[in-house]
Amino acid sequence: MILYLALLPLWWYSLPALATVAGVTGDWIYGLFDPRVSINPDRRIVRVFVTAPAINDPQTTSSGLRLDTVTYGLPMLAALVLVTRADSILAKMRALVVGLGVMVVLTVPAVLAWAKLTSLEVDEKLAFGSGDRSSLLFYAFHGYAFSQPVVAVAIWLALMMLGLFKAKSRQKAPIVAVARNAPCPCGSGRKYKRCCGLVSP
Amino acid sequence: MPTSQRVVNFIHANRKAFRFLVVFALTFAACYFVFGIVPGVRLGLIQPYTHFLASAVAAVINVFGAGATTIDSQVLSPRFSLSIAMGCDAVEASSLFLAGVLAFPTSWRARLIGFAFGIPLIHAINLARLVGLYYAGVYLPSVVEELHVYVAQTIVILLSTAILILWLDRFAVQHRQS
Repeated sequence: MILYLALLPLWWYSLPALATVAGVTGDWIYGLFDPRVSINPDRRIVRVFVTAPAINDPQTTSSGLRLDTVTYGLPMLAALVLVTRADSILAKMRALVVGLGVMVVLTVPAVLAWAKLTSLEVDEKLAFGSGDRSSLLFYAFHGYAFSQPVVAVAIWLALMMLGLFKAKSRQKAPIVAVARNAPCPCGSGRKYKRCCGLVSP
Repeated sequence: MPTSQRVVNFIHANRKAFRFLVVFALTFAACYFVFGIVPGVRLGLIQPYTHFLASAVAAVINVFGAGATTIDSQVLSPRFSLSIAMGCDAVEASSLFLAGVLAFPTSWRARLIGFAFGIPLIHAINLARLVGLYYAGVYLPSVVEELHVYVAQTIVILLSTAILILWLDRFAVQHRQS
């Protein structure tokens, strides 16, 4: 818990960088499907702009997603990984990088879902005069944002179960053929053919 | 060895871990959907529970002279007021524990032991969190929102995880299915 509180400022000051990564990637992916929508990072916020076609004058609607609301599981995951016993520092660092990487990558679909929600709201306003956000996508987005600590715990469990805290097994020594009359490599002092190389009838 | 073959080998070697993770994620999503979203369950079960939680918080803080009253899921006092909304009901933490217990391959006896001591313990911790948030609102009003979002919720999830690991260590592994 102390480590988590210590990591909170680090996460807070890294939010602009995270917003840039998630915003730029999200903008590129969303642009492939719907060019009306643009996603721009703005410090700790990712802004979504939707250009709605009007008869003479296209209007742009925007909404902002605070990136802290979809990434606050990151410091918790980092704290969980850092306090977990690992075979080596290298194994721990590998688990940390993989875990945080997965969580950062998951931020992109969250940004895309927010952009889609904004786009749907604009379309519904145009069609019905009001935007209704009670869709499955809305619940999925808020479920993900709301369950950040649970997402962190799930990723941490995955890292443990997939053995990322264990050191990589060293390459096995090449098998060397032992002559039948040579001393046995097990160290018994007997000939190989009378020890480990004994062939039962 | 080609990459695709290495991926297949990795999945095959870790199939038990992947099975646990898939069952865990699906159970958590199902619990979250049923208890957190389905209107019948929210209005018929969770909402009355939040009213009960508000009464329990008021009862605890009134022992220390807060002079609090409740209206539905709101705790009203002269110094600070709380509204127990979605997310303050420990549904998320309980779902996490439930998903972990159901996903781990163990006997139903071990699972029942887990439910019997884990779920009430998580709800007791959540009650303590709400009481703590009331006092945070009274004594640290400038940071109560940050404490609510980033600290209190995280503590409940961390403690739920600790209870899950304790159950895995003490009960689940002993009754593990082959």
